[in-house]
Amino acid sequence: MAASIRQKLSSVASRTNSLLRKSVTSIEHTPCVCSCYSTAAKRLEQEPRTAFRTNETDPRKHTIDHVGLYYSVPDEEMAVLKTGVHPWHLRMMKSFNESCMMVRKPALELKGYLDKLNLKHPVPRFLLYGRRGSGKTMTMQHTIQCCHKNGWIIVHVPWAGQWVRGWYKEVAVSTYKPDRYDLPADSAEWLNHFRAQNQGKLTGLKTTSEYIWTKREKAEAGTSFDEIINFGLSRLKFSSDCVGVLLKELREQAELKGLKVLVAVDSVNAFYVQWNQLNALKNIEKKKLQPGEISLVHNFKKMLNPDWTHGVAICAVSEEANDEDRRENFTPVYLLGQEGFEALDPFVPIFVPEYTEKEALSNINYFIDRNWIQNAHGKTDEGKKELMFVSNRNPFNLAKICAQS
Amino acid sequence: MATSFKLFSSKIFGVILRGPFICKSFFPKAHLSVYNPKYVEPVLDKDTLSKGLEDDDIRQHRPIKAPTTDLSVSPLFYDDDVRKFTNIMMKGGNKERVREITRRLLENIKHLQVEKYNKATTDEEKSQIECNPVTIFKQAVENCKPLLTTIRVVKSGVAYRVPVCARPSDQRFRAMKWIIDSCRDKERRIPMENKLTWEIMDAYNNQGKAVRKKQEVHRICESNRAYAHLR
Repeated sequence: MAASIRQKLSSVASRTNSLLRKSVTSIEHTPCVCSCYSTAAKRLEQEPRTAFRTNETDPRKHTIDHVGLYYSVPDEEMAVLKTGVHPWHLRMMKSFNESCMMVRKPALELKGYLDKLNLKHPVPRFLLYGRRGSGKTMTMQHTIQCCHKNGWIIVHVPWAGQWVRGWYKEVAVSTYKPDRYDLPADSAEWLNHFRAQNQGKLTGLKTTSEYIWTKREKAEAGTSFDEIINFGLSRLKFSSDCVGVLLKELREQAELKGLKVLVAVDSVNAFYVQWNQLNALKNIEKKKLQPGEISLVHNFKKMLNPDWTHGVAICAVSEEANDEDRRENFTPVYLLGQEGFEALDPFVPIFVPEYTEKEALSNINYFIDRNWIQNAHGKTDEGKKELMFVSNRNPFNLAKICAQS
Repeated sequence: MATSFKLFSSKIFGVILRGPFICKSFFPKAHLSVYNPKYVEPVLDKDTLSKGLEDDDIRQHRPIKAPTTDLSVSPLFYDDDVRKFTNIMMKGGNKERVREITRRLLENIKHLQVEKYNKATTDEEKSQIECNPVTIFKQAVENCKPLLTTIRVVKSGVAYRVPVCARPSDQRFRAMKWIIDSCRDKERRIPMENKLTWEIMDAYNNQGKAVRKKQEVHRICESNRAYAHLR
């Protein structure tokens, strides 16, 4: 079965790739010969360089023409996305008095796949990978925004590393199985996050089986999802179990009710690699916990298994989720390790590259527009080239360098 | 007569006339360069460099001086005052850390000002907001610079604190040192860059601990003006 999915996906990939390639070639030939002979007003040479913003705010309508352009995200959608955005990025958005994101090629590629997907097949897995700060998370946010507009149910993990490491974190023995461990605070936080992202989409959903919490408390079949979330938030002890119940019900009901479920997990490699003694979570007896022993991680791993339909899993691997001595490479096989690779295989890898020259220029021009680059030399052509060279066109590095100049 | 005039003049001009002015006018500057006088100044302009030298140019046959750091570094990432500030803040040679603090400091100031700028509605409001963090930093240091300082002079067994005119390099050092020290006094749990941001924004508006320190020094000089002839 897995092989057939892979074949199907690869055929989709090749088709979209060829589509992408075609439109790229048509765009890159900007110099227009006819303009030399036409009587129309000649376009300024700098015009294509200074265009950095598009009025197309609907992410579903973005095409290859919009690559490298910024679009503004309205506040009500930013409320859905902001948990996944890096704090320094949020701070910038606050200072710029608007939330803007750049349209980039990997996001369009992913969108192309999702549009042409047959949801009746087992869950396909897409894996974003790339160097540090190259925009994996923002690519994911772009896709989440698309799916949110299309009315998908979003199951989003902003930063999986939070659940497998930490100091002085409350770790409780699971009420469901004694050899598993709960993270009450993190589970409650995630329930809140889940409810905020799916407002209005959970109303018709009800559980199909009975869940017994204690001798006296139980949730009968037909309890609404909202009630389960409220129970998890009021009784923190059972919040991890509530997460498990929600995920299980979603998997079961996706096909029956024709839901569309998007599972987005950032830094998925945290689920599969071990942490060192210092940073890993420990139980009361100071024993280091494996990621699989934590009930949250265990439940989310099930979401990534291709044994259910009407869903899509988008994952991203990041170097930060690995131990410091295992960050030499940024490729999925290296970061996931043997276990993780076997669990996720087959997946569609999507490479998130650094900025192209056009994108980098657009970024710098956007900064100049928002009065962020203050150095007079930084506003000249020479200075822009220098910024691009020094940052190696890495989005994070570019923003970091622009912050001090 | 002559002695009384000398005393009188020193009382009036003494405070003002000390320092670099006198040195420059009366004593010729010693030749301190490590280079032999035959060495020629380097050319740093890129356009001139790309043209190349003509055959009869004297630089074909003369040795050339190496360019200094502040001339050869891009203005994007280098500022002399910021470098000095970083070096004064440094402890135990841990420059990497201090540079990070300075970088974040500039970033913080920029965030503060750019947010105000982007929230301002009219052009008039916008034009009044200074967004360049380096300009703000320099203005803050300028506001903390003391005009006078005191030196210790022992005359007939008694030590006096005699007011003198501060040299420019001394002014800069004092101003930066006061800004940094006033931040070190504050609570330790707060990151240094945040404390510095507040202090510099205060100093930019002529408020804060460092500016008060400057005023205090001025007051001491004012009260000790009678000793001005003792230096």
